[in-house]
Amino acid sequence: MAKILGNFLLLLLFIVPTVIIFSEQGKMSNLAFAQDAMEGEDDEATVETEAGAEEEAVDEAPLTDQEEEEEDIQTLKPSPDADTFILFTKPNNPLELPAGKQVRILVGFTNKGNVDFNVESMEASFRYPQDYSFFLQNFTAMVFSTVIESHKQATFEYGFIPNEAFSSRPFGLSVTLNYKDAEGNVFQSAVFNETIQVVEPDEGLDGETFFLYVFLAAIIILLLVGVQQLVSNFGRKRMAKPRQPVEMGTQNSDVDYDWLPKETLQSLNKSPKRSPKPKQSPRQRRNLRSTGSGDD
Amino acid sequence: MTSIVQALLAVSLVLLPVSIYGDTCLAPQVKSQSYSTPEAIVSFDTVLIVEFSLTCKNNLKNVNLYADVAGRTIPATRIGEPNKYQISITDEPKKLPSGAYEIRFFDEEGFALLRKAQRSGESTSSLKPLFTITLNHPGIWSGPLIQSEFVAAMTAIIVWWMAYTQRGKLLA
Amino acid sequence: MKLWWAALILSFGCFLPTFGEEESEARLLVSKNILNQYLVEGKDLTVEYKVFNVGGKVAFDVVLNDNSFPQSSFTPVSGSLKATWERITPNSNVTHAVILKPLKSGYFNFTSADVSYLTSEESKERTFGYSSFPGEGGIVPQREFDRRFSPHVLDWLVFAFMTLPSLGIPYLLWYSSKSKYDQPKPKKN
Repeated sequence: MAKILGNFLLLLLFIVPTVIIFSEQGKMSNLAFAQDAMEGEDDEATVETEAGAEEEAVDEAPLTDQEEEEEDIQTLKPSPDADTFILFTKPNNPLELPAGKQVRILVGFTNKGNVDFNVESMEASFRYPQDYSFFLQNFTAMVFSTVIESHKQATFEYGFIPNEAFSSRPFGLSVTLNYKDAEGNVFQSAVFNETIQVVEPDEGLDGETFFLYVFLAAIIILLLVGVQQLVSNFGRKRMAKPRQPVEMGTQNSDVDYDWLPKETLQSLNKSPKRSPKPKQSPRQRRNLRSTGSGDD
Repeated sequence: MTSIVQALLAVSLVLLPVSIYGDTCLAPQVKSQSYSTPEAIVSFDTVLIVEFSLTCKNNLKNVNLYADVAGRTIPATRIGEPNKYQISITDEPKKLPSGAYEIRFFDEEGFALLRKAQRSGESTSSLKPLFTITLNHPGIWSGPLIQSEFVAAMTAIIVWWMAYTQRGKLLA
Repeated sequence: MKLWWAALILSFGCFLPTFGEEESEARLLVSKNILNQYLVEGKDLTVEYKVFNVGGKVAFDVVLNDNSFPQSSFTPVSGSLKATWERITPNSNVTHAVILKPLKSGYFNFTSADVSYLTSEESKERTFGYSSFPGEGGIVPQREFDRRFSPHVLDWLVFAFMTLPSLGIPYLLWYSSKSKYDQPKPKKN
């Protein structure tokens, strides 16, 4: 009795999902995964019915149901009449994105159904690769609000810049397109949902860093010169103090004698003691006149 | 039997030049007009455009043309009226430096040969193009090399320095 | 038990999307971009179109037509707003550029261009589509742009001329007095 009941239950559990599958297919011509062509799914469905000894598929039914429910809660479904395609135009390889550089993508949208679609926005985000519900970086959504008539195609462009700090790490990149049909049903297609690697941009010396280094070098040299000046000043002061009375004579050596008549020079040389007086006097005069402050 | 073959051969020999004439453009006459990005604010990338009209002696219309320029092969775009074409090349300014660009044009036949040569890694310079257009890109002007503010500041500093040294000389 | 597993996998597979399926038709993605750093009235406006064939077959008779630039606001400089390609092979792209000159300043909404093509040689029906669109952009008036970016050579010259008296008069005074003192010296020497 229990066995019969069990078998009946299995049969029921088998029939229910298949009925659901086919009825849904009849209604919307495609299932949740609208992105692939119908034929493939049909094939597999028939394979299942052929191979599926009644008992088997049963266990499966609750599992899939659960999954669909989960998906429902988590995200909106894509429409079966919408077909999307993604192309990375810059860089060409989507699996390695340079950090801090712009990434550009093109998303193609084809309306295969008979009603208009209104493509509202597109957004991208970096997720934690092990857990896609955990957001690491959210990029600004781009609002399009474009109406795509039935059997028409459109291309949308989206650009984002991965954070510079995110280099050499894997990320789950998810690009989603939000749209709704003429009846107001809201759909969402995950155009791209894969783990990618953010890499450091390979570029040699850019102008900015080069000039930064030049500037640093200049500052260091300036500091060195300043220190040297300071040290020599200190040294001179210390050395100069005791010598000052002796130095008096040598100080005069940088004075330009050219303007003096030769006779005076000769007399100067003969009597060095008197020399400072006539020499200094014009200088003093000028100094007084121009700056109003006398030296000595 | 042999006579029929001979006749056929003769006919085909006679028709051969005709069929060839049907394919290739004879004595192509080209009127071209070109554009290249003049200054940096106008475009991030350097854009080179050549518009030309082609007239063949044998009145061939809407020939498919391919251009070979600076290592890239691009199909010529047909624009508006018949026998008017356009070639657009866009790339980063680094990759399209100033200078003269020789654009070599091939028809389908020449293009096949070009592809063959490219695939086998041979040099394509020996291939004879249908015609060539030379485009002169004078380079992109990205603003004056020295800012006018900088020049003014330097002048002010020089004037001040001269005055200061003069004063220093007077005080000495 | 094995059967259970087999059925489980099979029925589960039915729900999985099939990957790597070859697209049997041509499929074009068309991008439209404005390449300008600044949009300035009276200066060139660079529009770039890129057509990518991401499908599995050659796209035939591709027509790109952009009617989004009204004659009253833009004049063509170089390039044509209508472009035709006989065919675009799979996994290749073509570039088309147009140079226009904005006649008016102010905001302008750059909308998408139209594209139509045959997805394969046999197909009778044309596929219609839209390119991407750059969105709204502000066109700066010529005068505003000049005020911000021209080298202001004239302004600086005027400034120099105006500062001349305050610098020149003292210099002349000084020079005249200096030459008075300097002149006798060479005579003496």
